[in-house]
Amino acid sequence: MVVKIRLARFGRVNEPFYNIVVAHARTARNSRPLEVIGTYDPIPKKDTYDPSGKLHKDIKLDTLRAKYWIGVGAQPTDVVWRLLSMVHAPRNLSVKNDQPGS
Amino acid sequence: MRQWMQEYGEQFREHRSEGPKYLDDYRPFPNNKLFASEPVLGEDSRETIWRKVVQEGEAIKSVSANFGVDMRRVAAVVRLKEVEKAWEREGKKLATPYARAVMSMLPKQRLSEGQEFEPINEIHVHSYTQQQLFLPTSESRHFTREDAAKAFGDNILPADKRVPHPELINLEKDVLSGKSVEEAKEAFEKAAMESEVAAARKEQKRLLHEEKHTTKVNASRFEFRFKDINVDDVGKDGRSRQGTGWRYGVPFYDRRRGEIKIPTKVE
Amino acid sequence: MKLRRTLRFHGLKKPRVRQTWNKYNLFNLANDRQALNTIGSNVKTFFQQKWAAKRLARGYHGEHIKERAWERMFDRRLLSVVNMEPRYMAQYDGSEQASGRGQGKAGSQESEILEKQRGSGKKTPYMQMAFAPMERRLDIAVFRALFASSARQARQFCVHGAVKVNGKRMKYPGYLLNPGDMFQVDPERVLFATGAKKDPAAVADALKPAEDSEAAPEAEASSDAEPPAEGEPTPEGASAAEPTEPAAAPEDPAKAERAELKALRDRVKGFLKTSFGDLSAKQKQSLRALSKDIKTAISKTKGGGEDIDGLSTLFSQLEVDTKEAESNRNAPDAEVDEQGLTRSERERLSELLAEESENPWDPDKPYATPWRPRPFMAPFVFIPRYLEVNQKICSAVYLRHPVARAGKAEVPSPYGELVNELAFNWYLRRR
Repeated sequence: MVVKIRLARFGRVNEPFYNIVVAHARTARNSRPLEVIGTYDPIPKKDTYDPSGKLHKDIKLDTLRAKYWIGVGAQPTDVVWRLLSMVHAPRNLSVKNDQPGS
Repeated sequence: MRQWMQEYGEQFREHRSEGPKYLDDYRPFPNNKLFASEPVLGEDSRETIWRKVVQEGEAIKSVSANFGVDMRRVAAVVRLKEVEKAWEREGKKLATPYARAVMSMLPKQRLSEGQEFEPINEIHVHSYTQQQLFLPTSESRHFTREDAAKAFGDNILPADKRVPHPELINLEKDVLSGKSVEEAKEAFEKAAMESEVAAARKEQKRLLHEEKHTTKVNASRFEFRFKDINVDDVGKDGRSRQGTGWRYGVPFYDRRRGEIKIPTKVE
Repeated sequence: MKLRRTLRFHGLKKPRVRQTWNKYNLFNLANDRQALNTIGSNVKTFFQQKWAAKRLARGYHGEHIKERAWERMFDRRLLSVVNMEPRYMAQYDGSEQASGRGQGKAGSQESEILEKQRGSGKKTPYMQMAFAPMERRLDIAVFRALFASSARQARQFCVHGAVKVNGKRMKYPGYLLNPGDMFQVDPERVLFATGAKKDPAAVADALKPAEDSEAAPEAEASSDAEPPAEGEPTPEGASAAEPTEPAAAPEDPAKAERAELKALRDRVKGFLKTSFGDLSAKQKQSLRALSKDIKTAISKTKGGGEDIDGLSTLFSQLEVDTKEAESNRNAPDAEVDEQGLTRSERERLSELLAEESENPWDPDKPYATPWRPRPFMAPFVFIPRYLEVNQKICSAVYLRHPVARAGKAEVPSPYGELVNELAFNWYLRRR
């Protein structure tokens, strides 16, 4: 069965919070995954003492595990792919070749 | 009521004189003899504290010890003063008439070196020490505060370690051992500065550590902050509290009746 | 949350002390004896005593908080502190207190400092701390920091989003402050809460003539109507002013001032004629009042500061939104400088003007302007030591939880130990 790296939505109504999980593709979204490799908080936040008012989003991620799972053929979903490609140049990451040498 | 208002209450209608005016001397509640309105720091005293800490770079501990003001209060005064200055710089309107009126109604105390504004070396009475304890020891035993702390519980620190100003005790010890007061004070100020620098360094180290383990990526609208974690934090059974992410297999009570839903802290 | 109704909140028949700055509350606070005397009476059972005490105390401490919520907040652990004298700590290591006990010695030689540290024989009033957890609530802390005139109003400020904790809006009045939290209240709200009420009669007065001037004949003939209204005193004013004119500049400041006032009046009149159409009815009204006031000031002029004082309040009243009014206000200032006013007078004038610029007359505000404290405020004004307040920015820091120390308890409570002790016993839930 295909192993995917995807988001599992937790949190509340209007207050999403995601676990970044490695799970079999055909299991339910919020079922217990193979591994939780991080979290993604999509709600932008401000630094209290930063006058510029720039917003940021917090992500926790175990990059080594992410690399490992991709190495063994796990397929990130689009959103997760976007997140992962921010911390690592895509060529380091994987075999996924729909974005060659970007 | 009308009669009382005309005869006695009328004096409270307008506040004319400088200084407080309560029902009973310094007691706003005449039936409670155990509560008195205590003086606050005046405008110039706050300015002095701010100047000493920010402009002259004195350690908060030594300012606190010199003026007899609690350390936390010194820090708060500086923090509030900084906000006030920021407002002035931004041209925001301050509530000056309100401040003047309230300050005229409050008892105030002028700061002066060596005079105490409030007790600064206070420790909480630990609940373990509130029970009577019978401890058989030999008569000849030199039973110190350390021993007493140990007797009360394994994790209880002696008073010498719990006081907010252990440096002050050292100062007095120096004076007792024959050092001149100036010398002792100098040593005290140095120690106070050192402890402050150490605390600052610790904080800086923590920030550096955090910085090292986060990758910041500037995307079009937001900055994405990736924090490194370790998947093994969840433990063998995958249920440890240290683990990252929403936990599986643990009931989540946030909507249950009677559960407190308002935040417990703001950072 | 639905709040308790406030019918007979400050009743005089069954008086209850509340967390407000109301004058009825002041009366009840000053004449609270009867209720207290009945509590410890021998006729009542212990249960009844506890009930009565808890009822009284809860009428003051967070009366707007539901009993269930308070019961959850209640804590039987009462915080107290002891001040450790560094000199004593340096001198002794504590062993002197135990030495010689078993040998039958009466007691150790107790040092004076130790005695002081123990509070000179005063007891620590633990029971006064029964309602300490209440003081941690955000709404009550806002009230204690003197930013609201009652705990209910403070609660409303929170709910309406006027309170920030550590720079973030906190809409829950039940938020329990942590040591080191800074809370800020919108200064406008604070001024509203602590300021005197707008006088409804004055507001009505200000409105009425404005309506008159809007009436057709008034507005059309206003430039003509102005002189007759001032008709009779004008010659007087002129005659008073004329002789001064030659001697005005050099020696007598009072005379110079009078001339100055006259010039000002003329300016206002001219101003009224030229740009009358551009102004709103209210502004016209205030300008007319100004010219009238100047006139009386001229006739009264004898000496220095007072007139200037009056004049400058008029200036501030003139501070209406239009640019014309602004220019009118600035122009006389410049002239005053040209005229030979003494330096001290000029300084005083600028001082007064500065004072007014920070406390201006502004009819749009919901409180009386220039701002002044509300009546019967002073007897309620105190700040407990666990808060550090900066009034200028309407912010405060919650330093620590309130504590008891020898002879003092930090929880502001209108009742003494008897009531608080009985109330504490009630909430221990062993009844």
